[in-house]
Amino acid sequence: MMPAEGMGEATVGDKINLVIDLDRCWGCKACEVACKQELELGAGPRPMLVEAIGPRKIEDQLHWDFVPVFCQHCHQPACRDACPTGAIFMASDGTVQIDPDLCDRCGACESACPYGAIAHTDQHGPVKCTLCFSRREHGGMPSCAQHCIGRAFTVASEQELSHVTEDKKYVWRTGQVVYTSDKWASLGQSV
Amino acid sequence: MESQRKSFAVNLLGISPDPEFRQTLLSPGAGLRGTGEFKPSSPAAAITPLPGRSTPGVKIIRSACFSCNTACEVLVFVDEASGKVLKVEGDPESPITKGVLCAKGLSARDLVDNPERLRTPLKRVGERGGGKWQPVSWDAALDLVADRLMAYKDKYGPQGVAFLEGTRRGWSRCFSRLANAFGAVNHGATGWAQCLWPRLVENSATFGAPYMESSDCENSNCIIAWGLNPPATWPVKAAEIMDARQRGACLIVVDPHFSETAAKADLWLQLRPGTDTALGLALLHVIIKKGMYDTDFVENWTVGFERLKGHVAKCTPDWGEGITRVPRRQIEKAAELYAGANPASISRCLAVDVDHDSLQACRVLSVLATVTGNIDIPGGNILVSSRGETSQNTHSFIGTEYVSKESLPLRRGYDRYPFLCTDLCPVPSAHMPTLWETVISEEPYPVKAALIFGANAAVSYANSARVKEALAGLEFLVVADLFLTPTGAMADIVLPASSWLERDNVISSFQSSYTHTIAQQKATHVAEARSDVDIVIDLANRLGLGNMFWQSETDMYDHLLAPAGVSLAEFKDRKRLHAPLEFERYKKTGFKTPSGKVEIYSSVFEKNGCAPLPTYTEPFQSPLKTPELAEAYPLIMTSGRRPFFRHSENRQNPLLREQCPRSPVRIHPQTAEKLGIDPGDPVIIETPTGSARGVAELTEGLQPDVIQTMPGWWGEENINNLIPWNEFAPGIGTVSMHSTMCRVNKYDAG
Repeated sequence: MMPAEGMGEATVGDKINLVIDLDRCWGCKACEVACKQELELGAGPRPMLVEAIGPRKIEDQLHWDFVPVFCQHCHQPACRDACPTGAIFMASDGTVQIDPDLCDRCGACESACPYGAIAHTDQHGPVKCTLCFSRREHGGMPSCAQHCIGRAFTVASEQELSHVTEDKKYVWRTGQVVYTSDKWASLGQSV
Repeated sequence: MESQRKSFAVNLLGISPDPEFRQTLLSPGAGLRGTGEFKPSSPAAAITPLPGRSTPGVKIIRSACFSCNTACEVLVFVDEASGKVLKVEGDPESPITKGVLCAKGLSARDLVDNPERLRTPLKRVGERGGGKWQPVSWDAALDLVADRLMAYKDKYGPQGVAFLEGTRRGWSRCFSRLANAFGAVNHGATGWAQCLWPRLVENSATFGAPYMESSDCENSNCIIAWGLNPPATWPVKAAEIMDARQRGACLIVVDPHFSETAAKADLWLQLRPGTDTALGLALLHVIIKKGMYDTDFVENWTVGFERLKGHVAKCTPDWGEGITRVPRRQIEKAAELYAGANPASISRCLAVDVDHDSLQACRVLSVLATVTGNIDIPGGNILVSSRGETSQNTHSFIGTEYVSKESLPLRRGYDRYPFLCTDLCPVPSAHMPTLWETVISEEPYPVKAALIFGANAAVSYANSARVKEALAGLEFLVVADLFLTPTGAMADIVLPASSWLERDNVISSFQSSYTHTIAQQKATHVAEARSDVDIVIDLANRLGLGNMFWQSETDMYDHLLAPAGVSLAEFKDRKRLHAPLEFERYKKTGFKTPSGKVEIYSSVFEKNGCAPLPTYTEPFQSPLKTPELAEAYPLIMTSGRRPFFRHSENRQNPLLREQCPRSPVRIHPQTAEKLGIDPGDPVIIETPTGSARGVAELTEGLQPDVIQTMPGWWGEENINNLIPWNEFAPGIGTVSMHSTMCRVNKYDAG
């Protein structure tokens, strides 16, 4: 859970985005378990949670969709603003990280996150997605992205982002996590 | 926190799907989508290199998961000092999986960490099922087993000892060989008449080879997933279908339930459970009537097409709708899409195997692929390549010749189920319900002892109460498993088997790869646990059958791999054997059927008392067939799986149990409302055979008179308690698992 060495040396150009094609998510939860394995969590806290929407009928058609919900690595992180000890910081790769040495486990970040993406653990205090910085440091992908059975996740640098999303009609982001879809117009087109 | 996440997801999607997105194919003018150029799937599918993943003191072992039959290639991270497994990940360098792995594989460390793992052989002390055990040495346990088996064989004949198996946690038919070497005519497995064997024996009769089990989705323009929900059961196939779909292939899903796969489909055919054959016949009617069949293939490579034409003349879309409940226009559209796309493939799975007319349901799909000329072409249904090694799925490997011809008629079911019990079957075996009844009644002869490897018989067979009665009546029971299952709890001797993390194996199956044989490598060990192959070879020696076996597990795999020119050690080093797909091989060799052609009219079926043209019959139980039963038991019970468990396995794994803590029962909201059932309520399902409990989940993805349950739960949540065995599928003896009339009520714990 320690910030990786060298993380501060990355340049702005090395910012990482995780793009999720919602049209490819099967809802199989491999990403949830992959995440827990990486963060060494047992049953209970779920830094990654796949929300199932439906089955629901819209104009006589059934829909069943899945949205992996986790830390968005917000550009304006509410958790950071809420943290009284300055334990939450934005790394130069664009991700939002928690420094466990500074964290006093007050729980303010958990309440502040608008996505409910910070899980509480008795053992580690607040736990959330790190975009698997240690895996990336070793040339790997975030574990959720690698293991996804629908291959819904794509890792993209800031420069690659427009290429990765260009074929998709709808794109939504508030940070380094980007959702795309050809189906759900309410995502909008904001990149 | 959870509600924040939910409302974020709900708001993100909104309630207005783009009208152009996968517009319903039934709308006027709608046809095949995206016939344009191939676009590679997401860059996330690109292979990332392994170097650098290793850290000092951690060894990475390349292996293959056996949390299900897919056997995805994995990396097992092992602590060098302690030998402990740290984690299991997908192998990003695998050409087959490209790194994906499901929840079961990712959490497989529990298999070796779980404190409940059996660690030594156990001998029963006190009453059967009393839960008192004494640890004994392997020598003591196996000597006792060998002595007792020989004693029962001497007293009752080899038919008095049953050899039963399940998934055996890996691909080996070594146990089958032991059964045959012993002369055990009553050798069988939980699933064979309900899983894969119907498809394989049907393939043999129709094509002379398993053409239908491999579907080349990667190159297909139209994929029919027939009773298949691969994100829950077949990760590699799920990834393949998702890629094909993105490329523009049309996806048609046949399922009574709006599954995860159906949710991605262009066309979902919601059939009434058990009516697969009727739906297939109606599709054939439309294809033939519209002249959409492949004239060239039909004329040159098939027999019986003219008879088929007459046979399906009455199977109009209206007839089909009346039986299957799939609207006429959807039947027509599906037929046009499948026959119009070139090439097109059918992926079929367990759903047709568990039908009351399993062989007929399998046949109708084979005939569909045949008349449309989608056999052994890129993008169609294909034959896997041979990588040169000796297959274990042969009569010579399992040693069928060791069983004397005179004793074969003693095999229970032999006179009734030729496709299961004779050489027509890949592993000729006994009909299990008939055998269990024999154990209870001792008619026509006593069966007093049983050896059960890798099968949780008390849970996994239909009519569980009856099976438990039979198990309790045995004089001597040996069970080899990872955990003390309800079956092991009834045993005299329990043997600790190893999990896939503790084994070497040579994995060659269409479920894993069409082009590769892959290596499973021992990554760790747990106390005294041993692999089934190792136990079988040791036991064979103690039974005086050593000359029919190999010196060791390694020796066996060396022998199997020899024709491919590698030893087990070299194979593990190379990691896999590869052979590219070949197509249209039949043009050189013909089809290995009696006529040398694809038998639309099956001479093998005719000779063995089965309808030679695919023929529909109503399920054994249904609102139409048994209206008086339906009055008291008005709901049709089917079942489906989730990505967290296979069969009765993995219920001990906290990460998986968290995803699915109780046996879920899916019910339509209207039905639930009538019954006063809310989501999350405990419910009880009842049939004249028994009852099972569960927890209600409401979904509009079922018809109001259909419920979907989930198999594999131990104890009172076991849906096998509900399933009767009064009637069986002709020819093979399948227990109808997906069409049982039942009733559901809220369960009042008070």
